[in-house]
Amino acid sequence: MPDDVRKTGSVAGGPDAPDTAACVRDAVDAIIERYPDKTGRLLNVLNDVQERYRYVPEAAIERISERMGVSKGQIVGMGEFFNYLSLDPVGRCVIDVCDGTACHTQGAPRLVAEFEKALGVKAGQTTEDGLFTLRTVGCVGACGIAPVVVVEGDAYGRVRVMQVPAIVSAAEEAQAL
Amino acid sequence: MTKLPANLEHLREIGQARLNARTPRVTVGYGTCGRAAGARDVYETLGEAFAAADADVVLEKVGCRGLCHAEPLVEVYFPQGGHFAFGNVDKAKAAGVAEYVLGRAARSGANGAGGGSAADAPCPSPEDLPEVLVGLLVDSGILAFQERRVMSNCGEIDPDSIEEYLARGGYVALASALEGDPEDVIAEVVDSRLRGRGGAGFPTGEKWRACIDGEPGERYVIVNADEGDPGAYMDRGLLESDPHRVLEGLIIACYAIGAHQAYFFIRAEYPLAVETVRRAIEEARAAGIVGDDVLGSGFPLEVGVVRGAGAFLCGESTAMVNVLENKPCTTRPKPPHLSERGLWGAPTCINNVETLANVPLIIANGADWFKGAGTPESPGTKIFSITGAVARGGLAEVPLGVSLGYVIGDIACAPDPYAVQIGGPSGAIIPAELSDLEISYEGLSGRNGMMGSGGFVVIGRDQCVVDTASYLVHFSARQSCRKCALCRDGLDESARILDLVTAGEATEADLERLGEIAERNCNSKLCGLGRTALSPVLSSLHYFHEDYAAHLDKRCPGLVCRGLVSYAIVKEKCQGERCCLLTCPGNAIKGPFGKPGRIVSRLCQKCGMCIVTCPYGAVKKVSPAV
Repeated sequence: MPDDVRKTGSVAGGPDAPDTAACVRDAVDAIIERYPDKTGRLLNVLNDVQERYRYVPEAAIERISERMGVSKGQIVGMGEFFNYLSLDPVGRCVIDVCDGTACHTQGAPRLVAEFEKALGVKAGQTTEDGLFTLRTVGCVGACGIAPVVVVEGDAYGRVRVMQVPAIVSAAEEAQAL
Repeated sequence: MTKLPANLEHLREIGQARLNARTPRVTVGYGTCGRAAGARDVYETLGEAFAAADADVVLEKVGCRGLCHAEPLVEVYFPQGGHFAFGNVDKAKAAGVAEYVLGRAARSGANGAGGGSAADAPCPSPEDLPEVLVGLLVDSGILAFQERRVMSNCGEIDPDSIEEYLARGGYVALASALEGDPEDVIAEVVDSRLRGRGGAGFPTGEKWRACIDGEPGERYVIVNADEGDPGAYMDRGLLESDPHRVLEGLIIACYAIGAHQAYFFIRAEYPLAVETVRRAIEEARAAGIVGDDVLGSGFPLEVGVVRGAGAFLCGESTAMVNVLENKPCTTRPKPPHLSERGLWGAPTCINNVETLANVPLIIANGADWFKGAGTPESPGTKIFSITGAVARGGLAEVPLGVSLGYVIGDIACAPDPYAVQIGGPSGAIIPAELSDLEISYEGLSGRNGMMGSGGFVVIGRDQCVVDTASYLVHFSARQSCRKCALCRDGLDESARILDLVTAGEATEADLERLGEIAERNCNSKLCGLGRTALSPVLSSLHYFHEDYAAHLDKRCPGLVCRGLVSYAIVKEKCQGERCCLLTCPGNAIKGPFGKPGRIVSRLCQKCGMCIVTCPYGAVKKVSPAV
């Protein structure tokens, strides 16, 4: 699935190297410049911020609010309503278990339980070492190969419960590199 | 016959040369499904092999043919007409395909006494395929059962190549539309009786006409590509595989309505679709198809892309307009309809991706041709995304009016179907036994839900319809904008009752209450999503009452609902080897080694590892739980 697009989001924004508020403001300004057309600008900007930092930081919310004349409350509300946006920092490696209809009927809930066990966190949470975030997501549109798990943009299809430990250790190794 | 401007004619010739090369052409399905299944490795393996041999072979990345069960898919076209599709190709098998293609190229070169081209060799037949490749041949049955109109380019051309789209007859419909009056375009689409493919099935031509009825002035057309139905990905398939067809339909719509600004609203979860569409717009701009002067007609048009961010509700047209105006994602009351007051107060037309992809075909071939497929009330074809308990899953385009049994059996080859969930969270759950049910806008109504956007999830006998209904209601409850009490409270209460049912703790009275809420909401005046959100409940309560009743008796017939099943070892099959114990997280399997074991319920975590580990199939699920 997301081939290289989502990976480009993992620039200096990880929990290890938090940008200062000033950097965030500059980055947000640059992102806003990309969208001269007012139509859909807020969502486009929020998506770009999400891709840049992997979540929408507080400083970004403030800057967007100032620049675009939208209340902070509304931006937070959108951050909570839209599944793709996150208001909390995520781990260096995000594991998305697809829970669309096809994946659900093909056993996605069992996969979620297995990942929860392997990582020691519940879906929606990040491991203490900041390495993994486990999430369930709506349909990623790869229903033909359900159930699907997306690890940092790389999709695994037809995943069996048995393969969960191997997926986690492969992700750990990739992060260690 | 409409002629294309000279610059497009030139591009068309380039595309034609590529598609009809006098050398073998090898394509790799490079859509989201293909990539997830490993298309990148396959493509690289093929590329390296052809480069190493310095072979005269065209290797291309194409979109998705819809044969998702067979990804990664490699197809080989020979200049003399032969064509093979190899499925489930991995690196090693890709090397085999490359070897075969190179071998043939070398042979034909020798036949031609050095100077001859591959095109002179005899047409390849399956008989001369090496044995390893015969096993990879994809059963083309799934294609034979379809009528591929909208998808005719999908998986056959490079989606990033406007040249190849032109070579397949692209943009001729736009050129001919621009020669005529906008009213002629609307008349043709009205006459075709094309209905919106996104869900509700509103006649497209009438929607367009409503937009021009008011005062002249600014107008907008928006492509609804916020495909939020879980289990459906027709629009992703089209955008990733043939973006120019959708763009051409959009430009024709804009011309008909007199809109000079259009937007694609695409889910951010579809990054490949977003990128493909952005590239297509840029290609079209460079070719003079988008911009100040579309194809030299004097008609100006700009096209932008806005990404959604994962909200099912955004697919509701008024909520989408709110978001495009940078407001919160909530619905607006209608009237006024968007055709009167839409985006920034201007008349606005929102059309689904598949709807627009039909438009160039209607303009190029005429309304009568379009009506040649489908039923009088539901003309044309529809793409379904067939998933779940099927042997042949993927995207299939069929004429409307075909029977449920045809899709489940002939196309999907479902081995043991029990039910079908059609139309996503706004659709219904229908028994697979209703095989004569007509799949059309009129056939899918009332308790049979609605056609929806094309989600078609087959539920097997080892799955649970109550669990599926519960899943969909929880989904809708999360996606509700929670503004209207009827929708919010109705969904919350239904979700709560369904939790009780799947836990085996519900009563008859609970089921009655569930039915009341579903009836009430489905007949309410809520927005499109609120009104239909309990359709899966309404339909499943009607058709699958026995399944609900079984859950009241703490029994899950599909052996899915966790609280109602337990695991047991079949003594006759167990060899006492205890492979299961190695993977059991609860250490729940007891008994002496070499003898059949037993599972201690108190320790069992119901993870199911024992079932997948046992080589003898000696572990089974039982319900009610012991």
